[in-house]
Amino acid sequence: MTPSNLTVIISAFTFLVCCSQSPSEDKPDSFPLTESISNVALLAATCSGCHSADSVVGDLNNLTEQHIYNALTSYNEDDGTTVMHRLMKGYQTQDIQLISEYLGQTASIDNE
Amino acid sequence: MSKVSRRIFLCGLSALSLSGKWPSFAQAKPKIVVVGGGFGGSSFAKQMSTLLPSAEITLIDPSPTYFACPLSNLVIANERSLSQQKFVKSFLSRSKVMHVQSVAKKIDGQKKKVILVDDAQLPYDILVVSPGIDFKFGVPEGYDQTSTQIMPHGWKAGEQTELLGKALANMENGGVIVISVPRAPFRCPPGPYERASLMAHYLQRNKPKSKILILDSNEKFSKQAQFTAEWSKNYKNIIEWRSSSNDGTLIRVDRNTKTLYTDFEVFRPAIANVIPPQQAGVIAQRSGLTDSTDWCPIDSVTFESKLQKDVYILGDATIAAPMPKSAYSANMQAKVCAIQLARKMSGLDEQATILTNTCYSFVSPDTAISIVGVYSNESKFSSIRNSGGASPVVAQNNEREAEARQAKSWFSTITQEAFA
Repeated sequence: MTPSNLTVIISAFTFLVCCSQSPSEDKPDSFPLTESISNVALLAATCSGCHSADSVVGDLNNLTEQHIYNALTSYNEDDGTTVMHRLMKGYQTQDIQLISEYLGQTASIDNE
Repeated sequence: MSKVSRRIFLCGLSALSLSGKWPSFAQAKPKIVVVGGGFGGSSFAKQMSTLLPSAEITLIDPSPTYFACPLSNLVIANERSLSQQKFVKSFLSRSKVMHVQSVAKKIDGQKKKVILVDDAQLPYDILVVSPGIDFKFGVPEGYDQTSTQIMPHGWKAGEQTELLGKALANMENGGVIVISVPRAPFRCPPGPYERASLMAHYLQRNKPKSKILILDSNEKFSKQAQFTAEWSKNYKNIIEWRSSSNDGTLIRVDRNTKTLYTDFEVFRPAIANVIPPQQAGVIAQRSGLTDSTDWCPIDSVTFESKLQKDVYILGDATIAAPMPKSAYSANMQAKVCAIQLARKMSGLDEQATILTNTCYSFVSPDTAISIVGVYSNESKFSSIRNSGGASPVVAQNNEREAEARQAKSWFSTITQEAFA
């Protein structure tokens, strides 16, 4: 089974659990820990090797999910030769969706 | 993606934690011992202490600081100071990670203990070993520990970097530098060729009658087309490369006369930069963690040793090809291994994923080329088809300059992530 298949299954599972419970019941500190060991955390672990607040290639904090999704998709589809173009050729749309969703959270929480 | 699905994603994960799916996660108190505080070991200890704050994590490393290898060829070429390569493992003072300032001598896998040089013993539930490389002294014949002072390898940053830098600065105009490259696999595959490029840049400006000869024990090398293009464009007649089949293999050295021997030729260069063949760090050799290749076989998903239960191995010491032995790989592997271990302790299954590597090489102080890889670790490490690769062979100077800026930025980011 590919990583993306598995993440889909787990995402589907979290959806089911979620429907029976409202977010207000959550312990405020339980979420970041569990999220940090998810399949998506594994997929996105690579990003922080290059991207930080001071890096010339851009800080991923406070970028929206849509922004990240669009950028990664164009790297995946375009003929460019940058490091990101070469890297993103190894990912499928499903992976890009999950990574964008995961990394876009910081921005989305701040904005809402 | 819509806001709704994002909410589902967020609340779904938190609901899971309440539902008891991760019962032991935040509470688990395993004794985790980490041997080696380089890019692999430090990244792991720091990441693990965040993921599992209740774990008792101990880092065994002789020093509170670390000299990083990436960018150290710029130090040799007098374009950077050695102090810029030195990093304090400052995460140690901010996290609960205990630092045992000592050297691990051996691992007793049966009794699950690490034995230190002073014979003190440290018990573990989980052991993470990130020992880097050690040299196979005796190959080439005559190259021993003493030879490293006369014919420095410069393949571990610090004193060796300084030695080689001083030798270059003191060399007379017209001197010949020989760089000998061992048989692959070795740490930092493009490193010798980056070094040749930066030395050539220095010679061109400071000692224009001098030359560099690369004696290579291999038939091809990393980013070969890109390096070769840059050499013929910028360093014509300064760098000569000899492959193994072209009498490039260094067979023997005589350290007393600083003489190098191939099958058919004898060299007495001004600088003999002998990079010896490599193997997994000595503790891995002593503790039964290596196979007949002298590297450590591991499970590609969890990084657990195939030879010792509850021992996990990271970085240069592992057999993870096609992932290269690089700082980026070690840091990447450390992050993945930490998440997998936290999953395991929480009763979650192991999970194959996608790993990457990015390696920049300077071809002058202001220009660089890169190579990247994207890997699946499902059942074994393999390159994902139609992805990765090196910078274009022909490129505008501004593209090379952009990659040089990215290289410096990458270095600053990854050293922060690993050590700060």
